[in-house]
Amino acid sequence: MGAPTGNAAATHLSLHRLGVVCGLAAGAWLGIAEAPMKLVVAGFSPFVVTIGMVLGVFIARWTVPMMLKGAGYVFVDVWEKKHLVAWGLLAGMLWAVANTLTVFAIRDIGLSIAFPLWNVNALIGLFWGWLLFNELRGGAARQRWLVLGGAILIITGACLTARATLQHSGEAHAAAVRGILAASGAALLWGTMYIPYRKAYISGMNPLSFVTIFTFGELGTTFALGAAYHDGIGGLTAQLALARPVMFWLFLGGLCWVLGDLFQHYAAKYVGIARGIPLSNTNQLWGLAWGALVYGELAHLGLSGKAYIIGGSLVMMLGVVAISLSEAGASEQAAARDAMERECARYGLDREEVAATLEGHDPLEGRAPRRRPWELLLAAAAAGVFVWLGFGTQRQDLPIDLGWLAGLSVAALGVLAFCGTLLWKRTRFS
Amino acid sequence: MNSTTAENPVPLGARARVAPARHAMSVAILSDVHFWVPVAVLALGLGLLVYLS
Repeated sequence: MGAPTGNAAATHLSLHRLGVVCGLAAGAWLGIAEAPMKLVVAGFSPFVVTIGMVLGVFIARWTVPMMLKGAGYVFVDVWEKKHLVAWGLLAGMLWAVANTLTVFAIRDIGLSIAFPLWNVNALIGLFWGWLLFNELRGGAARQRWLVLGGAILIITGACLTARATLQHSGEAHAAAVRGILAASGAALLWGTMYIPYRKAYISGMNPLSFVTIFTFGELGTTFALGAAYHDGIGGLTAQLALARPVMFWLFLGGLCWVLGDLFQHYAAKYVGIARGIPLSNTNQLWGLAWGALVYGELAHLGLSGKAYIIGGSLVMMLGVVAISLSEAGASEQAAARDAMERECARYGLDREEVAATLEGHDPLEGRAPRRRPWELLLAAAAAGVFVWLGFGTQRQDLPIDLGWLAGLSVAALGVLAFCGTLLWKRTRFS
Repeated sequence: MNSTTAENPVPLGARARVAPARHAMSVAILSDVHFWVPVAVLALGLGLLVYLS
């Protein structure tokens, strides 16, 4: 076994604080991922839009980990924890099916009602974290109530902001029931998807390695479902070809999604799914900010609508504060170690090494192969795909506030730089 | 001691250990109750998709 690297000495930041920052950064970038998608004008099948985004995600999920840690590192990490391949694929499949359910939910009840419904995934993740991984156990009751209360506040805030944009469409009752079923199903699947996440991290896998497996399950299932709903592969590829002029925006959305998703994985690793997922669900605030400030979507809102948005945002922020204050105590950490011990015993993992990764060290760093020149070529090819797509992109006829666009972009890049630097200094992206 | 052949330099003992190791890993995954929770939820989600289509 390699000795833990001493990178923790680089900063005294607690892992709880790091996890909270990662959760908030995840919210920022998952929210921003919605912004390029708004440039995709109506007329394309939702499946084609999803596949376009997932293709961008697939490229980014291979390139970003390779640039940060090297392809050899990822291969060694996956090879040493082979049993997690099944879990990664399963998580990707859960994501894809949940995402398809959201297509049905949006069609039947609209985004404003569907969004808060599927945001309940935070409570489902919290339940699985408590039941299967000893999260929130053994600690003081105050910590448990802070996390539970915080998660409920974040969902309530999401409901309030969604209420402001609620359209009374006069949908038939049956369609509404179908939509609610679809949104609830998406919440259940996304909440359950966090089981494999947590499983991977209490087994010592690096989040960067896990997402490279995850993306195969995600892309394969999305393609299969897209083909099933478009009369086979031929029908699907014909639809994708039609979407070529907007493909750049979909890929860009996918890239933003990957950055947010990576931060979410680090949050799940360092503060667990019970705390990490509600924090990353603040993506609605960023999505709202882009919609309202850059695209002027809420300009038509009256005073009561604006009050709902401001009130909802404040309630969400209260939830964030509550979760941020609920640092796990010694007894809760001991309960979490029991969950780790279970994985080590079942799958024959090195206890000391797994414990070191959970403390922010990177035991694999010393024995991973060196980076190869072809990795740079692969990264250049991935960038080339974006450039190539950019050349064929149609300008979208949408009113955009360039000042807010620049402001929010700078803020998002600032969050990326700040959180990325903290992660590097404290854990070397372990 | 493990022996090798001219065609395959991998020790015979090592090759013999691969299959049982894979089998043990499969057993560990399939007997893990945690594994069946997401599998059951995935099946439920697929069923829901079929119902909604």
